[in-house]
Amino acid sequence: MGYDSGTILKASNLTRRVGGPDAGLTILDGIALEVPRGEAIAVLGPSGSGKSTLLGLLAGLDAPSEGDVAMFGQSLSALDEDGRAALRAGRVGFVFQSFQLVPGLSALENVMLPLELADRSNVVATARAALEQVGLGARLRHRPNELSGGEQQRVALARAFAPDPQLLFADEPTGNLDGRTGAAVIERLFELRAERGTTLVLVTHDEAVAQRCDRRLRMEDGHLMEAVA
Amino acid sequence: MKSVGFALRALPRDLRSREMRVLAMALAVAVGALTAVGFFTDRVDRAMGQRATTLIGADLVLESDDPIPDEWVERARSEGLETSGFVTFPTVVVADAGSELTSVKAVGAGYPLRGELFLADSPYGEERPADGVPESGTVWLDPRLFARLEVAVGDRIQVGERELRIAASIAQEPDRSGSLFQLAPRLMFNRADLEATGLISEASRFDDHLLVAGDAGAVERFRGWIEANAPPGLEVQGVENARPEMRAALERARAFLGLAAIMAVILAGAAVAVAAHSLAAREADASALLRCFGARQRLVLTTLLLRLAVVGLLASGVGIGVGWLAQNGLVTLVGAWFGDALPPPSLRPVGVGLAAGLITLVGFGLVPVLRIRRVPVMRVLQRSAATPEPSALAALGLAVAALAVLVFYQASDAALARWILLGTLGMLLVLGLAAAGLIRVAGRLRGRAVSGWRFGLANLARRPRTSTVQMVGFGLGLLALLLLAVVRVDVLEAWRNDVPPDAPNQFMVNVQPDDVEAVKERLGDAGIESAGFYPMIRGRLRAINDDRIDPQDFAEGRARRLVEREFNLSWAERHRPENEIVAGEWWSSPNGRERPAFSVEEGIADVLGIEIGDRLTYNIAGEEVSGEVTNLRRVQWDSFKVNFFVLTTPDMLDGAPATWITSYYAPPESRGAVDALVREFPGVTVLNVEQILEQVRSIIRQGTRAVEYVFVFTVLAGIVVLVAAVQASRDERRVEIALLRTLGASRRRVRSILGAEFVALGALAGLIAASGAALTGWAVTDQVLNLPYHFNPWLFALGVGGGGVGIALAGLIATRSLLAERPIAVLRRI
Repeated sequence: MGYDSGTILKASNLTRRVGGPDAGLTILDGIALEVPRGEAIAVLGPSGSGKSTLLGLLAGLDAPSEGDVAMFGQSLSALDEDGRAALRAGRVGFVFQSFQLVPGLSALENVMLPLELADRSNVVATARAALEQVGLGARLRHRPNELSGGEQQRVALARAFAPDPQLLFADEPTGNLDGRTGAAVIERLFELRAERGTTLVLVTHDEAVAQRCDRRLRMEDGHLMEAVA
Repeated sequence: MKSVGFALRALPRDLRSREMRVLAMALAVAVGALTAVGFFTDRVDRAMGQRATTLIGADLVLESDDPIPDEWVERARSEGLETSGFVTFPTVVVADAGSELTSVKAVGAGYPLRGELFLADSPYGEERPADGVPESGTVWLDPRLFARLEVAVGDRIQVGERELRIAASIAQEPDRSGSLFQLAPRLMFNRADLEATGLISEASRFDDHLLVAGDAGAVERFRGWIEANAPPGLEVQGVENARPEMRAALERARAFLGLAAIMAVILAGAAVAVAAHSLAAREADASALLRCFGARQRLVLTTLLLRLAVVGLLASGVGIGVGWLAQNGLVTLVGAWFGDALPPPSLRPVGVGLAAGLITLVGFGLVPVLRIRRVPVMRVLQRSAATPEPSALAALGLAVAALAVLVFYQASDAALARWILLGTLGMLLVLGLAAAGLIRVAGRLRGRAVSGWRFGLANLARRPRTSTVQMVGFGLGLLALLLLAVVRVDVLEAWRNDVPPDAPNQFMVNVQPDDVEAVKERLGDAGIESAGFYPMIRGRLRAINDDRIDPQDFAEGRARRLVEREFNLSWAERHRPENEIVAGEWWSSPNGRERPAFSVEEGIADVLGIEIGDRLTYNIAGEEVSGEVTNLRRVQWDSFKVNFFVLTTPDMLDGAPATWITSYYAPPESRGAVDALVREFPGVTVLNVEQILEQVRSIIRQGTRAVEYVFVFTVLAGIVVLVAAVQASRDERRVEIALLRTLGASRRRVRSILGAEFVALGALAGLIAASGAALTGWAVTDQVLNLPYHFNPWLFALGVGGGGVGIALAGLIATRSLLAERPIAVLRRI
């Protein structure tokens, strides 16, 4: 299989085309990318440049029109959707722009969700510890609509890190937050990553946030290029 | 097992979720309706059955040309059944003033086993219940005999070789049945005196009757045994073949109840479908998230299905409780209607209720929910990644299959069930197509509309699928309400009018041809309007298609009896509109000289295997006449008008010995005039059907109330559909409202936009619902219940007006909380 234990994520010739009302549109055009274990990369680019599409393909949430992604040395195109889900379970974490907490579940239950899906033991204790780590130990029973935006994103952080994933995808994690709250969340994200050595793929349009990553890539016209600092 | 944990953890959340609540409410209503009707019809059926038993004086009556063997009586008693009996035969009694042909009934102890016999101390005097049977040595007489024989209570009359003292006048005889036209006035005495009269011998013609009553199971066992061992001449009469007019009323009551319950289930099913549709849409995000975190498709789906099952079971439990309470509350009402306590309900409806709940849930909810499997995981990053809509065909197919199971079980009449299924399917298709069409038109009109209307109509057109689902939901809900408000009243009114206050309460038979004009005149003088005079000729069926008839050829007791006895035939030039032609055509030449023809009642044609084109031969007063069957008629036996099983073209019976018959309504004050008429024309016999009429009316009254009660569930189901439909677009509206508010629209403006949309939705749905209600009303009245239908123009005014205003109000109330939300909070969540 040729899994280089140093490479956690590898994309080759990744292409995504969609059919438009007039003609087909190429969003991603033959992208190649290699992410070594423990590295933090930022994908920068203006709105509509295809950052989120790329993130979706890298995480196996969607299938490319051409090309392939290898995650943990496993080709994603060789797997069906269930296979890709199983590969992610407990090993891949996510932080979203719109938080994506399940509305009816408490903060604790939201954090428990990926732990249960990965069949972890001590689910409640782990989830509680994760929430305490993001400073929400007192708000375990609160539901998302009872939390502020910043608090919700911290719950999302706790949820993302609780299973101790090897790979974390973050899609504009501060996009829905004001500057100060956003900065606090980013601070916490990088702290946790540093503690655990989690590989990070971060999509952002915020140069300052991108600066905290080891490597910065820029999306332009469907191509990915190294950004000049 | 992971899914069980997820499902149970989701329960508190589910119980708070609007979609699950609507779904649970719909299921509870459906199960409530079915179990309430299950419990209720079970008990009412039995009570009505008991009522009907009074018409035959027992639970089962055996009628035989030969003496009833003791073995049968012993068999019945060994089953723990009560027995009694009587012998009937015609005889002439003699008094000082003259003699009279009477119909003797020599009754044994215990008669009647069901119902009550009423007596009076003088003819037409004050009624009182009889205390047992006539004492030995006494006789009770039909009131008509007092006048004809010029006797009074206390006098003595000669019956055969025995002289009996007249002890009372018979006011009401519960089982005065059989053919109305063969009955001479009643003369009743104790069976112990029968032998002493010397009227019965080996050679004489009489009918012996065994009456049986008791536990229903035991009666059925006895019936099974007797039918297996019955000799050819035996007729077994149960409640179901009691008087045809009673049966018609009972069957209609049952059909009504079944229809009301089924309508509630159909509506609840629609609510389940709409709620499941919204639920799946709402669960799409959570499902995508779970998949993103590594959950397999199967886990996501099983979890949701388990959650639905848990909620479904809980709701069904609640429904069963509601159904039980509903029927329990009814006992007080119904107990009073039926005079005695109702038999207790069985536990069967509980099982049926649970099964029905799950069938409704799976049938209506499964397909919309299954689309959760196909939620694109990318939705977590791009909300625009839409979930494919469920296949409308699959959804409809499964819903119809579920409905078929429920309807066939509930209706227990294949034809009715088929009709309901086709009707529902047709209605849904029409609703769906009409809704889609109207939405398209509304979209085109938006360019010409002003302000709020432009946005409102645009909203409708922009979400064609949700709008269609919503409009079908509104349409069904409004349809239920219209049916209840207008059609129910019309249909029940038609049913009530079926036996109007001036329905004929007396029949006059044996009017001689020469007396017809004079009798007409006397009735007219007394202010009595006759329902028509008809000739009656007695004839025996000899051959069908030149095959000579032998009673032994017929397996069925009724068929054998029909061909053994003489028919009452009549001739008619024209077709009477109340007799519907169900096959063939009425004769075109009025007198039928060129082509002698028969018209046969459909029921009797079925029993005797007579079809259109068959050639019948009758023996009338020694002469044989033949003709072809050109049409089959459906007769409304509960119209209390003179009806005949077999009619012929006029020429066929020309010269045959006829007597005339009529029916009319005689108000109490004109009874004296009728008595005088009977004295003037002694050959004429007057039969009073007031009592049967009253019994039919009472069944209709009880049935109407029972149906109105069950309709409460139908209305509840209708309201749940409306709620479900209003909820359906809530999430989409939340975002729209937030956007409009952000763009500077005032709350008032947003309200007017929403109002316009809901008014349009409601009015359009009302238009469809009114058409549906008119169609349903016609179908139920004309096709199922065989009653005349009258179109009610108010339906459309109420449908369109009420729909527009009602849905606008309901919609604005339902979306009020959305208007109060801060736009930024909503938009952040997108």
